[in-house]
Amino acid sequence: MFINTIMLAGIAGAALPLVVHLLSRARVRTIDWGAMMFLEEGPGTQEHAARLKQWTLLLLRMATVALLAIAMARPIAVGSWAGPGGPLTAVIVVDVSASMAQPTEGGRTRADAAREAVLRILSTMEKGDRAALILAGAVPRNADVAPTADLQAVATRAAELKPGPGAADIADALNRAADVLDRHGGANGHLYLVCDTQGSSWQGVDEPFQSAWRQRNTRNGRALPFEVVTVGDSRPSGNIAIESITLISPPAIAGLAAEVEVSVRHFGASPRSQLPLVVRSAKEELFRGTIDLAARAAATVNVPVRFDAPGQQMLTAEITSGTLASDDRLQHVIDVVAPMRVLIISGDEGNGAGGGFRGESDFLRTALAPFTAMKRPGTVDPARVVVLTIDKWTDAKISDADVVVLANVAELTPQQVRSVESFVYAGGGLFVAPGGTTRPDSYNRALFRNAAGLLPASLAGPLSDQPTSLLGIDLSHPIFRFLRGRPDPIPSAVVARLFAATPRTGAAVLASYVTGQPFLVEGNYGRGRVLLMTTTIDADWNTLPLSSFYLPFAQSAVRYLAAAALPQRNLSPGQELRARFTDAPDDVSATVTMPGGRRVVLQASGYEGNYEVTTADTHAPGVYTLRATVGGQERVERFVVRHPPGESDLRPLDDSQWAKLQRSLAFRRTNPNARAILPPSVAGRDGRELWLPLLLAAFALVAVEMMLTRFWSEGR
Amino acid sequence: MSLVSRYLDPTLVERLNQLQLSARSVVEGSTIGLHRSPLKGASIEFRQHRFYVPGDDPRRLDWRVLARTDRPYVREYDEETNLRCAIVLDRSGSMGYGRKHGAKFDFAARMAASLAYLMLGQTEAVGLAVIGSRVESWLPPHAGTSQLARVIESLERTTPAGESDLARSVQEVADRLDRRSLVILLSDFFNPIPRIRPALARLRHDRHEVIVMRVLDADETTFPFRRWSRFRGLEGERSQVCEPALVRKKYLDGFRSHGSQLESACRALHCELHTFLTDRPLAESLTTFLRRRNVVAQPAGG
Repeated sequence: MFINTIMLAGIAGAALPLVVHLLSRARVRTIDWGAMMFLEEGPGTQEHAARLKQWTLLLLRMATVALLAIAMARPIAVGSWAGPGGPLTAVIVVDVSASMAQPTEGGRTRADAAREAVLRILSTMEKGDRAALILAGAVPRNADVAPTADLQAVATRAAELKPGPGAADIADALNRAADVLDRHGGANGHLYLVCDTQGSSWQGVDEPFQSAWRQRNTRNGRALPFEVVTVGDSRPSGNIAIESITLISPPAIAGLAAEVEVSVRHFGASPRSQLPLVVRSAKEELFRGTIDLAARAAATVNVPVRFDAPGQQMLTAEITSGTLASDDRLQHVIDVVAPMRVLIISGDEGNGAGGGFRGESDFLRTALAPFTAMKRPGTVDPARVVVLTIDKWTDAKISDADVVVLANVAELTPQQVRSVESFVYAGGGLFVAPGGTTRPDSYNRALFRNAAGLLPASLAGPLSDQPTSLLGIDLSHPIFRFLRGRPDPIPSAVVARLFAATPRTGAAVLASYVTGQPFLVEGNYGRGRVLLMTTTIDADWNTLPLSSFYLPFAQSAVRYLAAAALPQRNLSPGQELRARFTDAPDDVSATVTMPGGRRVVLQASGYEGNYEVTTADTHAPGVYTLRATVGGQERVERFVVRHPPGESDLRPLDDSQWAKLQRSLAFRRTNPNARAILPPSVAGRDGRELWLPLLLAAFALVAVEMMLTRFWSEGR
Repeated sequence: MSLVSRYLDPTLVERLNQLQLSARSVVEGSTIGLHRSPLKGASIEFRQHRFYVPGDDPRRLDWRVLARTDRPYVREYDEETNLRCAIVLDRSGSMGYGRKHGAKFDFAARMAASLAYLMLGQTEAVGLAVIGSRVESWLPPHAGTSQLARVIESLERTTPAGESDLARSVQEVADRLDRRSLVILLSDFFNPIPRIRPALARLRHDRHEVIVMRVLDADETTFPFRRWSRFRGLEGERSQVCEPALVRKKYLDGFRSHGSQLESACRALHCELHTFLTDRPLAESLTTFLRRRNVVAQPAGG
């Protein structure tokens, strides 16, 4: 049996001395020599002796190479002839994920039981044995260490293990353990896994993993000795977690009321009631109350919020559940912004001169800034609207806006196309609403560009066969969230004329007409978003502005477009943290303070007007504070990494799942409370590595070869 | 480069001008020179009185002794003569070996030219025999500066090739030497010593003084080769392919044994043996040889 079977290919290298010998003979050089009388051939016996010497040396060299190759393949002798068993190398994988903090019977946690199990494993080992600890779910992930014979040091380390905030990935941990055993395991490697029964930790142990594991850890029909020690209850245990905090209709606008939805999930099998829930911002408590949870269900609480000034606001939701503590609290960062800057570029504004909503932009301007339209001072609108006719286009005004609306614009010049593309690519929002003056062929050529441009669909028409109305609306989309809960969410407005649209691949149709033609198509371009409405934004072709659908739709669409430029501040573990800067930070770097106080300096990269720092070292849940000095001013940005969602689900694997895993991975499952952990001395200490004797033999052959060469050449 | 400067390096010539090569024993010459001649006669240095016997030249009678003792005595003198030297140069194929520092033959040829220059400068008579399987060319000993040109011309015409038969060649040289001479043998002596020994003995029997100058390449003394090689004989021997590491012992054993035998033969026959390696500069090797030889020769000559 060999540990590195592939190294056996090196035996072919034994032919190398023979090849060198033959090549040397073939490429013999000729020397014109005078003292031939001393080279005269001796009797036949001497020539034979010389040949014998040559072949002896050749065989010694070939045997040396072959022995080295076999030694590198690390052969293992198994059986009584191999003598007493060699030392054992145990790699102990310990689950230190958040779920290990779950209390068990007797007031102890799963982590306490795991520590005891590790110490019991170590106590069964003998002098000369080696052990290594690998932590599954540690945050930050610890480096794998080589096994050490200092078992006391391993025991000390095991006694200090505490559950962290991370999630255990058993598949990853097993692969790391197998790597360590491959490198250091020797003849008698033994793998232990000490973990709880949580099913989510085993998600990565799927069919491909199991197949690869069997292939990797079975040598000559002998499976790697593998024991799983499970701690904690195998019975289903309920857990309650703050699942999410979501700002409804982002962005939050300073001075305007907004709403936050807090979702609480119950993983248990029996309902819980009257659970205290608190939602607070940095300054005040926003909600305090109780919540009732059905079995295996989620409940939401909508909390009204209002922030007076732009900036980052931290919300915290906390529930008192009496279950796993790490997911009872969740933080959330909200970007509060000033009213959105909306630039309406109108292609048919002339009729508005007479008043009475005759201009292309009149309805939209009123919908986005109703209080301003009604001239009510002291009130806040969600948007500040600027209307520009197409002939007064300036690039500067485009770049100052958060959202640009192309309302019944006939066509754009190439310069205007470039300008609007740059704007969207950098994160801006574009709303395209064609109309009577629009030239669809020009739009297709300049903005759609065979699906390479920013327009999410090509246009044709307009069609005016018969009036139609909206039918298919994606109510799960944030734009149409306002329709949820309405008894009749579909507006009754009539659309008399529209453009036929053919969406490109990747574009999403968010709403359609009764005829099946798209009403609203969404596409992404760079970091920005584009919405294409296939009828007019005013009442020329439809009666939408006259319905209750129009105002919330317009505001929701503009909010959705503007939110694309906001940084993603609420991250999942491992998701990339990214902060953008218009100007390069001083020292071209920023410092991130991680949860726990660890500080990391990040280098900024980018080009003029677009710099960013990123890190994927976001495995620890908590608040990440990024500080950078830009132009002498300190800029502080906060990000939140939530707790691993899968870790909240404490549901254990059932017996059939355990049985399947045991068959597939060939492990023995032990519950330390139910039966004793199998001593390693019993569990396969019968192998002995032969690489050292083989290496010594190879060295001995080298020495013999050198001695013989010297002896025969010097002619003693 | 002129022929002379090809064989005589100016630096070496400058050094040679301060040195001399003298025979350790008495040699016969035909003209007045540095060396004592066994032929007694009218000369400068008085040797002894001898009783007059009939046939002696009456002019050699010492009249003073006759008048004083009334007995006829003749005066005998040591005849001062020049050294007759025969340089025997081996041009066999094995002398053509030289991997890093040039062929042994080139080294030996320049050595021969240098010795000729040295001795001709001492008004000695110098001859040159180029040998291979037999005597290839023979330049009888003569004094005078024109002899140097003849020696060099003879060297220039010679290239190392062919088989070697030192025994036969030296015997032939001995046949051509009619008077006692200093014979300098320049060769690698890659012949069986039992065959060379009679030739040396013949020279000594003819009362020639013999200096054996063995010229070797460093490769021949260490056999430094590492890779599989085919050794092709320079004198037509059969090629041999071998792993140097495995034949080194046998080679060096044979080489050392051959050297020992040559040394024993020279010692027994009272021949001087000097070994020269081509990796050392000729000027240094030659001046060292001459200085050492003069230091040893002076007491004998004095």
